[in-house]
Amino acid sequence: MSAPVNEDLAPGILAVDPSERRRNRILDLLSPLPVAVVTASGLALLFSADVVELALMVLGYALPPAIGCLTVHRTLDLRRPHTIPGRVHRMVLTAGFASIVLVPGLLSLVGSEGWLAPSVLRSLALCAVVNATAIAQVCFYRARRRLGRMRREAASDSSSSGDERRPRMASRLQLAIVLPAAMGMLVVLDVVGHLALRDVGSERLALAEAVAEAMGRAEGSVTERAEAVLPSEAFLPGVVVALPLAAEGLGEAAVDRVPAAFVHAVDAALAGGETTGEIRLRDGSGVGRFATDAEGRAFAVFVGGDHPTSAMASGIWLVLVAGVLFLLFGGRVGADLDRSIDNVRAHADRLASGDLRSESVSVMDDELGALEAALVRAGENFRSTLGAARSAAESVEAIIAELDAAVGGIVEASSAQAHQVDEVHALVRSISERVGEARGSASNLTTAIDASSNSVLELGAGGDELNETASVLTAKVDAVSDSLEQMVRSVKEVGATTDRLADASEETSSSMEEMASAMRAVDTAAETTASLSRDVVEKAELGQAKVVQTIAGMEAIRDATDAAERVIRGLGARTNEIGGILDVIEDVADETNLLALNAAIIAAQAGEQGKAFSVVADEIKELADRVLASTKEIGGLIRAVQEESENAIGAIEAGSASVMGGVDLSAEAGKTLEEITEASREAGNRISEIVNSVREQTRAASHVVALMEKVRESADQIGEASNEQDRGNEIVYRSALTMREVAQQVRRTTEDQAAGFGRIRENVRGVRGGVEQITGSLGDQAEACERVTAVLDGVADGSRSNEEAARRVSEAMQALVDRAHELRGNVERFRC
Amino acid sequence: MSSAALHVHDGSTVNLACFEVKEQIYALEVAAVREIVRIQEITPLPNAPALIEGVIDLRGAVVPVIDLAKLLGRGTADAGMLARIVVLETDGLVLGLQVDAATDVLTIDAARLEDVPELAAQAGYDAVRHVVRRAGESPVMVLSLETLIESVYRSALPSQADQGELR
Repeated sequence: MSAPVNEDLAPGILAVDPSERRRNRILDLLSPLPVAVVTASGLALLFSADVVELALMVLGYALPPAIGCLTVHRTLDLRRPHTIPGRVHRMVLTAGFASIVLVPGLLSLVGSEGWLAPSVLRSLALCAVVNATAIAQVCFYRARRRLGRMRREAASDSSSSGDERRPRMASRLQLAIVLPAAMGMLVVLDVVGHLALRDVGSERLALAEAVAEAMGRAEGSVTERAEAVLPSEAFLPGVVVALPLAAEGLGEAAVDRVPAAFVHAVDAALAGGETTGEIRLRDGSGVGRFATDAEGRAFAVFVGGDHPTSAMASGIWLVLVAGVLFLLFGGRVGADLDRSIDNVRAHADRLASGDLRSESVSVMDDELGALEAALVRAGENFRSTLGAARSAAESVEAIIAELDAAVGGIVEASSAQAHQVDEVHALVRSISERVGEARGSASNLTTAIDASSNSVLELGAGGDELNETASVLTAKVDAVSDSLEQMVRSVKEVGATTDRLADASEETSSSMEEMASAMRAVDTAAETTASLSRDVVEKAELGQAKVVQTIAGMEAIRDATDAAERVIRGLGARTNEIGGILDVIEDVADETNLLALNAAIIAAQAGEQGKAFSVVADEIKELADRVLASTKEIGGLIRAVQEESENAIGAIEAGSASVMGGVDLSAEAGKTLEEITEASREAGNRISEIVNSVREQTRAASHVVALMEKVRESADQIGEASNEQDRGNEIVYRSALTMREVAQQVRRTTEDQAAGFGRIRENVRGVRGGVEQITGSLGDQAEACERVTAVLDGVADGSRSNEEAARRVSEAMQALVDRAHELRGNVERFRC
Repeated sequence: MSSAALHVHDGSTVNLACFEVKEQIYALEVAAVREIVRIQEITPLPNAPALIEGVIDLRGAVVPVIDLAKLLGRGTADAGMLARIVVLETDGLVLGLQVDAATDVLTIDAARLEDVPELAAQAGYDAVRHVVRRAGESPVMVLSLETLIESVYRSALPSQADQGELR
């Protein structure tokens, strides 16, 4: 057999190494051993039993489990899995399980029913025990398979020492399963022993009965008869005892050999009135029979012996020993297993909870031990990894702490900077204020200098009256010329304004003209509309008149039809009257006819004399017949006339109804036309109003236009007047200019004088300019201060945002520190 | 069955009063006819024979009326507008015959009276004595007055009437 095994064959089939296979083979061969042992024990204990029964017992108890186990070996065999294809494998597996569970049960049931067990309950008990054995076997195989899997997993976890460990647990399991199976078999044995005891008791009872019968037939006393029947005590020595009862009493010797329980039972039965019967002692120490002979003396035969009792005792002892063994080994095995599994689980739990402290408490050197060792190794690996992680976390934390400190410094520095900027700002602001104040003082200085300059000027003025007079003169001339100029300008303005006015009035006039033409159009349109509405009114009135005429015509028609109807009805009545008259005529003709007939009869009866009369009678009869025929025709005609007149009346009524409908419709149409007329009339009125108002507007507009015309004329006149005035003004203006030139010559002379004052004034001005320069430079300074303040404001803002950013960085650092702490806490959780 | 019973004028002509029953023309000798009157209300007689419809008041005289249609086995008479009662008088007996209409009085040659075929007579009904054929018109069946009277009498006597009906 080659070592590698196809693992894809079926789930649960494991790869095993050759040495383990050998071990497995031994175990597998040993697995039916308990059955064999039990069978051998049964053989030994029931040596005296029938050979055929024993053979059947072996077949019934040992063979089925043996077959089941062999089937399991063949199907679940781990030695040759590659020889069984997957599908067949499953089928054989199913068949094997079925044979394990079913075949022993069936066989034992059949066997017990036929040969071994007398009761169904017992056979069921046997079946249960045998099946329990088989199921235990199956469980064993499954456990072994699972163990193999566990071991493989452990081996894959820690690829070091798995192969070295021996699968002792398998053998322990084997033991744990073998022991209960053995105990079950012992129970079976006990049952079988009990059965055998029963059979022995039955034989003994038969013997007692035979003895009692023989004694009943024999002569003499009970003792004599017993001696006669039982020739020697060597026959089943000490077993069969004949007991004389009642008159003779129990013999001494007999009492020694018969249990008191038997004697009491016989006494009780006799006292109860029984004369014959069986007694079975409950402890199985013997059976007996009592009877009464022909002379009325009672006697009993007891067959005893302790042979089966000792067999029973040995069976019970065996059961006890097996139980103790099971308790000892099975319990220990279970405890060991429990402990190992608990250890493994505790390790796993500790690992799961993060406790990685290495504490190898393995007491087993089997698969569970291997698993535990693997767990321990895994924990160690994990712990070293964690140690590395923890140191890394610590270093990270330290770095972060440093970083945090650095960031704190940054924040502080930025705060300080912001503070300093604020201070600088405040300082600059105070400087700016100071500069402002200085500028105010400079302004004051300027005004003071101005005042002194003025006084200097006044001084100059006071010193030069001529100059002043000349100036005044010049000024007056200037003023005259100025006012003249002003006047000229005003006149020109008047002209321009007048022109504008004329233009505006022109525009107004033209727009008024446009409006007037629009209004004329409106007027025309309104006129047209009014005439149209008048037309509508006229036509509507015409229509209304027509409608009225129509209605009148309709009513005339209705009257006419009514008259026609009346006439036709009259005609009908007349025809009815004619009918009545015709009836009378018919009646008369009939009567005439009859009379003529009778006359003819009488004439005939009269013979030759009546012949002429007969002829007359015939003629009369003929006339009457003709009258009858005519009346019939007239009656038909009258009926036709009546029908026709009925039809005519129907037609006339229908016509009358439609005429009535026409009248109603015409009335409605008339009403509608009236409404239209009314509406049109109203519309006409409205239009007339509109036309009136438009006309008024037109009139007003014309009036406005006329007024505008007048305005323009006036404006033109004004323009002309102003032009003339302008020309006059020019002359005045020129003379004024001449006058001014003279005045200016005077002034020039005075100005030379004034120049001296001017120089003084310039000096003063120079002073003032200096002051102004100072003021200007102060203003510049203040401006500069302002600029500085603004710049400082920006700087302050920047520093504040800087501070904010630093704070945010600090917060982020804090969060980082927290994270680092957390990480460290997580790492710390693992106890190493 | 002999023409001698008829009243023949001049040995060559005979007068017949003709009337209509069920669209057939029957006739009786004028001699027996007293008059022809319009139908009038017929008062039924209690326990009267089946043939007698009842009685009428003819100008103060009570006259029994017989339905000729019934007598001839042709159903019952139509009481139309033209219905008449032919009043007979023979041997002092006055009797009314209800007919559908009275047509006229014929005067014919006696030679035109034809006997009823033997077979019809043998069939047991001898009310029709002669037949007169007319060109283009339906034939006139001349009734035997005696047979009529006899029939009336027979119907008046219950036992004989039964026998007569059986016969």
